[in-house]
Parts: sequence; C-alpha cells; structure tokens
Amino acid sequence: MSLARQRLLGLLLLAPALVFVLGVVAYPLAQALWLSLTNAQVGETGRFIGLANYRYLLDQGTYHDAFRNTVAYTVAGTLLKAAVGLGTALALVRPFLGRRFVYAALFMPFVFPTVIGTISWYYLFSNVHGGLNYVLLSLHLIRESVPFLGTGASAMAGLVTVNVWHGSALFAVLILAGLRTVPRDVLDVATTDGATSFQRFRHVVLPALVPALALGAMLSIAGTFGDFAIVHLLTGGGPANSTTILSTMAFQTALRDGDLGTAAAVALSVLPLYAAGLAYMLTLVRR
Amino acid sequence: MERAFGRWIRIYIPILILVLVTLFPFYWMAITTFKSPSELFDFNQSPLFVRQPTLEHWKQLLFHTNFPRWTLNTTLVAIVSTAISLFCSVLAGYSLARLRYRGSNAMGWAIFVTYLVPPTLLFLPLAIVIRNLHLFNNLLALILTYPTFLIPFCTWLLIGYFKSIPRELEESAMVDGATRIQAMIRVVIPLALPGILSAGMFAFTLSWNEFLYALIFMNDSVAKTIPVGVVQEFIHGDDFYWGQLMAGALMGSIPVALLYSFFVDYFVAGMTAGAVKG
Repeated sequence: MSLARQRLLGLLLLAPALVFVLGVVAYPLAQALWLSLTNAQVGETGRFIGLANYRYLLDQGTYHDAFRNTVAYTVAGTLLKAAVGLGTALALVRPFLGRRFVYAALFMPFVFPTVIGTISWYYLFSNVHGGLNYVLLSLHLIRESVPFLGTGASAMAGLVTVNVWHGSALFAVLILAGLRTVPRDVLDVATTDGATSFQRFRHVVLPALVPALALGAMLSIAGTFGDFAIVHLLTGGGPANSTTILSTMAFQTALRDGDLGTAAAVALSVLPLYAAGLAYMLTLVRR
Repeated sequence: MERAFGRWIRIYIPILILVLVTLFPFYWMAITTFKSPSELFDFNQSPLFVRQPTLEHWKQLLFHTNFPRWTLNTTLVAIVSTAISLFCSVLAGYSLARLRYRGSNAMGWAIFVTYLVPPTLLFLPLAIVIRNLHLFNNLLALILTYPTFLIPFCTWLLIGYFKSIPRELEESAMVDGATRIQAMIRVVIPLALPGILSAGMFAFTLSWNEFLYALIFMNDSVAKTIPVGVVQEFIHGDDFYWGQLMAGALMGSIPVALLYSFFVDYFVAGMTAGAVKG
C-alpha cells in the first residue's frame, strides 16, 4: 500500500473520533475561553471585558481558598492512593488462597457509581446515628458523636478518604502490571551481592515502577482535580467554604449566581498549572 | 512455621483489614435498605445490624417512584454512547496503531490528552450548546456528550492492544489477496476482542456512573438518570429517605457489579496492555 493511500485511509478511519474530539472538546474549550473574557450572565451573551474576571478572582478570598483546597485535595488524594495501591499490589503479587476474591472486592469501589458510594459514606460519617460514630463510641474511643463533616480539617479528611476508597484500586492494577516489568536478573544479582530487601525495592523495583506510578498519578490527578460528585455530595464545599474546590466553585458561580463569565474564569484559571503538571507526568510515562 | 506466621502478619491481616474497610460501605447500604423507618431512627440499637427486616423501601422504590424510568434512561444512554464510542475508537485506534502517516504518533497522544480535560471546564459551554440545540431534558444531550470522554480513553487503550497483535498476521492475509480493510475486519478485530470488550466495559461504566452532565442537562424527573434521580429526589433538604436512597443505590449498581464480577480479568488485561505499553 502506498504511503499516500495509507495516509488517506488513516485519516479516514480517524475522522469519526476527531469529529467528536474537536467538535465536543476543542470547540467548547474555545467557547469557555471566550466566555471567561466576557461579563455573560445566564440568558445574556455579555460583552468583552478583557481580563477583568480574572483580576476580580484574584481579589476574592473564596477563590484563594478554593485554589488551596483543590491543590490539597488533589495532592493528598493522589499520594495516599499511590501508597495504598502500592501496598495492595505488593500484597497481591504472589498467589494465595482467595486472591481472586480479594482482587474483585478491592476493585468494587472503582467501578461502583461514585455518587452512590459517596452517599453511603455520607451516612457513615453522619453524627446522627452514623456507623462510624457508633463504632468509635462502642469502642470508647470518643465520648460523644463527632460531626466529621462539620469542621474544615476533618471534612477535608473525609473527602480524601472517599477519594482514596474510590480510586486506589486503579493504582494497584497499574502497579501489578508494572511489577511484571521488574528485571528478574538484576534482582537476583542484587540479592547475591547482599542487598537488603529495602535496598532491592528502592533501587531495582521502584525505578521499574515509575511509568506505572506516573500513569496512575496522571489519571488520579485528572480524576481528583476534575472531581465534582464527591465534593458536591459529601460536603457541598462546606462548612463555610472550607472544602470548596474549583470545580464546585465554578458550578455554584454558574448555577447559583448565574455568573457565566466568572464561572468560566474560575474553571480556566488553573489550566496552565494543570497542563504543566500533566505534561511532566507524561514525560515520565513515555520514558 | 515462623515464616508462615510472618506471612500472616505482613500480608493476610493487612489485606483482611483493607477488604473489610473497602466493603463496609456496601454492607452499610445493604442493611439500610431492609430497616423499617422506626428502626432507622432508633438510636438505642446498634445501627450495624437489622432486627426486623422489611421490603417496604424496595416496594416504594420500584412501584412509587420514577426509579424504573431512570433505569431505562441510564441503560439507553450507556448502551448507545458506548456503541458510538467503540465504533469511533476501534477505527481510530487501528489507524493510529497500524497505519504510518505523519503526525499519527502526536495525534495519538493528543487524543489521550483530551481525556484529561476536566468536565468542569466543558460543562458551561456544553450547556450553552445543548440549549441552542434544544436538547435539555433529552437523552440525546447525554448520548452526544458522553463520547467526549469515552472516545479518548477507549482509543488510547485500543492503540496499546492493537500494537500487541503481531503485524505478520494481517500482512499474510493481505498477501493472500485481502484488502487492508478486510484484513482489519477479519483478522485484527477478532484478535482484539478482549481489548474491545475491556474498552466497552470501561465506557459503559463511565456512562452509567456519570453525574455532572446529567445533573445539569436533565431537570425533568422522567428524563433523569439513576445517579441524578437518586440524589435529587430521595433527598429533600435535610430529609434523607435513607431506605429508598440506599435501595436505589444498590439496585442501580447491579448491572455494573455483575459485569465486573464476570469480566474483571479481561478488564484488567485490556487496561494494562494499553497502559503499560502506552
């Protein structure tokens, strides 16, 4: 087949996917960029106002809070998921009785509707007859019910818990696959040379896992940064905006305040940082 | 003996704890659906067990709410958007994995990167587009928008899977006189079925579980999907209809749970073939 025909066929086969990707991702993205430069409201097109929306956000305390919360939520969620996933993968790498069951069970939260898992956690966390408070009270670890979602720090910890519960299986699966790429011969040589198991892990196993970890981190960052369901349902950004992240802030600015221009600016303002982070991860994956 | 003991401490006990923590929310959901309203709010009894199981919540859910309708909507949207996405992704994945043309490599990464564009960025302009097309409360709004995050991921998985199939197989078919399209349909696609199945499961799950777009585009009760319907209609302000909520939640996740308990190995194999060779 000639190169020209290969090219033609290649583009032809690619066309349906490209129509969707360009039409429903690239075009709206451009539209969002334009919106963020206008003072559009619900039902009004608005006019061009330059960077005024962005300047306005920089003066807003809530924006700074949302920015900090987003970073904290994403970083804490991703690191914990990587740690739990790594532990799970190392425990599951050798066969044992019931391994298949454990595997399927640990995978459950990942495929389970996030919305529904979050609601169950909300009930567990509840200080009105929630399961967690009951267990802690029965064990005499606390004296009275704790409103877990009622104070800023523990509400954020609650969000991270649900996020980790939902997402660590993906890390485990990727790391299990990565463990198969660990060079056996190097590991054997290291053992005969007297390397401790920690040294072997640190200098042989871990480097081989970098692509898997980076890919997991990339998917986790995308999922956590763009997460809406968990935060919206578990805390709704409260108490007092202490768990508001940029996605819930954009949603509220658009739907509650009807301020489309500012909402678009909230959503877009972190795109450069986000893109840079992902681009760095991408170079690790492709190594 | 001592070794076996160490293995228990290092492996089995942590795994057991992890499995318990992982499954506890599911247990909590299940028992909640069988508690009578009086038991739900009886604070003197342990909430961890059911004393007098009742099917009341299930009856309510199935016969006195729009839940059956939401199930129909969700199923329809998930099946159609998965079919569209698989069709586009198989063709695009094959093109990017097999045909050599300038920019094909970059194009592959560009498609993956679009998967990472968070829906938070897209929901505003998409809502405007959907309004201009008069598709609010129409399932087409979801069927058209879901492929935006399904196609990139499926294509990327399938590129990895297609690359793992030896080129020689289709080349020998082409030597025997098959065109490239024929070779693709008769040789490559059948061999890639496990990967396609895996991508399909992924797509189905993501559409089944999607929340943000469905929340914004679907306001009529009869147009809702399960995740949106359940949280919007079984929670009224601070009043949580826990029994119905949890029954709907469990019921709504049965298809996905079944799918995975049968095919989890395929899913993982396809996922890692795409992922690790990326």
